[in-house]
Amino acid sequence: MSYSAEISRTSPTAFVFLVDQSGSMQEVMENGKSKAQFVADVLNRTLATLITRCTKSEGTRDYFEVGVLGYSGATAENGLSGALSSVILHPISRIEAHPLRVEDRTKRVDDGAGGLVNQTIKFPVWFEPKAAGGTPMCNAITTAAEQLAAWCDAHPDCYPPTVLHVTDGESTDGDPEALALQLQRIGTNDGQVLLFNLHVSVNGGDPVKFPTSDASLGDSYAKLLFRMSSPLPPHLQKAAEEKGIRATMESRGFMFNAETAEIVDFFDIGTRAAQLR
Amino acid sequence: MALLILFAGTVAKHTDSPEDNEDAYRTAPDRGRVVLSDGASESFDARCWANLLVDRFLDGDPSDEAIIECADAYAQQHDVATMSWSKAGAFTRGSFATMLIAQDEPERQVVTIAALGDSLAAWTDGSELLHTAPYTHSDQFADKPILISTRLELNVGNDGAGSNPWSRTAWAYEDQGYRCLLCMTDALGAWLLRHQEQGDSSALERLYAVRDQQELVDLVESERASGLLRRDDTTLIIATLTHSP
Repeated sequence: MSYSAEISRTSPTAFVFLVDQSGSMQEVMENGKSKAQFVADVLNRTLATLITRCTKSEGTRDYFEVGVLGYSGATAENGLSGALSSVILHPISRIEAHPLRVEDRTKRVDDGAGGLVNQTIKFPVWFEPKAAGGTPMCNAITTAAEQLAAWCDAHPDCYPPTVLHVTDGESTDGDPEALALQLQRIGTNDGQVLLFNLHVSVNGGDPVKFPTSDASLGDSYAKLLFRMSSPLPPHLQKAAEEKGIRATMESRGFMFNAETAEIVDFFDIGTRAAQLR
Repeated sequence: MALLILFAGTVAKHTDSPEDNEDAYRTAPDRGRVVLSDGASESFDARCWANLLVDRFLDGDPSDEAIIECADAYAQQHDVATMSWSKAGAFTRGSFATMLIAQDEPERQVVTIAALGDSLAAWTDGSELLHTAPYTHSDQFADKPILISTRLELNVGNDGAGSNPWSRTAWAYEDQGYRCLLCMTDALGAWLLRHQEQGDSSALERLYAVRDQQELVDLVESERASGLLRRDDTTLIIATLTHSP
């Protein structure tokens, strides 16, 4: 059965985040943040969550290897900098050890008496928002495929890598569909690479979440992203259902017109790899 | 007669790292009691939590107060103020574990089982599987189990609805008969029930025959290698409650 390999220190899996950093990501969302800033916040929080899932009293276990590719202008580049800039994919303990900084942020929490109080939390930052230039999606998918082909060769029996792609616009360096399908043909003995696509919107309108066909999608761009998305494996269907999102065997890992809550859900569901041991 | 422990042992998910084993168990044959806990992998310190729970429940019945005492003891063993951001975050996520309590009540000639989570008790006459609890089908192991958390607000029963998450059952026996109790963590439980559902009693026979640690290691490793047993910390306790046939 596919997507059932145990995930352990001797048998890790990989996550690659593909992040559109084109000029349109400057647009401001309903929460007052730019799309670039909000996506960066959610990505940083997702990295922190992945790390805490792997962290035990004795330290952080390398259940995952993680990479971030940002793309804008004409290129796709490592989205992580500093000590993490030399290669794309890193064991998660290395990411834990090298945030750019750890910020103190304020969170409103229940005071236990019906009110809310401010609580200071540590918020590590690895990925900075950026928004400029075009949308070289083909370049980004090709770079991810190169990384993951090598990773799968080195980890033939592991749970296959997951690519979480966030974009708000159309590719400016060609049609990405064939490249996305090639990326999904890469795999391990436990299954093929999962590519999940998230379209970020400021335009309002009802988000489309994990659709089963492209019938409800209004334009050719949405239909393209649907075709570029992998079907959700059963354990991720279950993760979606736990969040109240209807998902079936035909559902694709795709959200369109996603706003803040959907963006958070997309990252959370997409990183729920199976059988963490 | 008193409960007699025929075997109790555990195998870590990776046999070269026994220190990572997050299962815990205690037996008190003179008091007819067996307790077993499976610490969940996605926990900050599941080994500590599972051990606190079995120590506490070896002597006490399931209660909210007992879990609160365990959570207090767990908190005292960890100083979040001195932790890195990642350890503090993991500590805040909590630790989680199952609990299985078997108690012989010779005056009533029953063994009672209290369970929370997916550790399994099985009741056999030495040749047939008579009952299992809290699960009866292997596909139940695919569901997310209810676990006991160090974060008390996450524990089922703390929802204000008065719900009781503990599964309870009692299995009767007679002095002149023969009954045997097997307690095991989820990987073995799913493996056993899957075989039974296929009309294959070989898993029960093999489990029942284990009498020393090496035999358990051999069984676990061979079934893992064949892909039939999930790689997880694996614990087995075998006890008789009546005279041998």
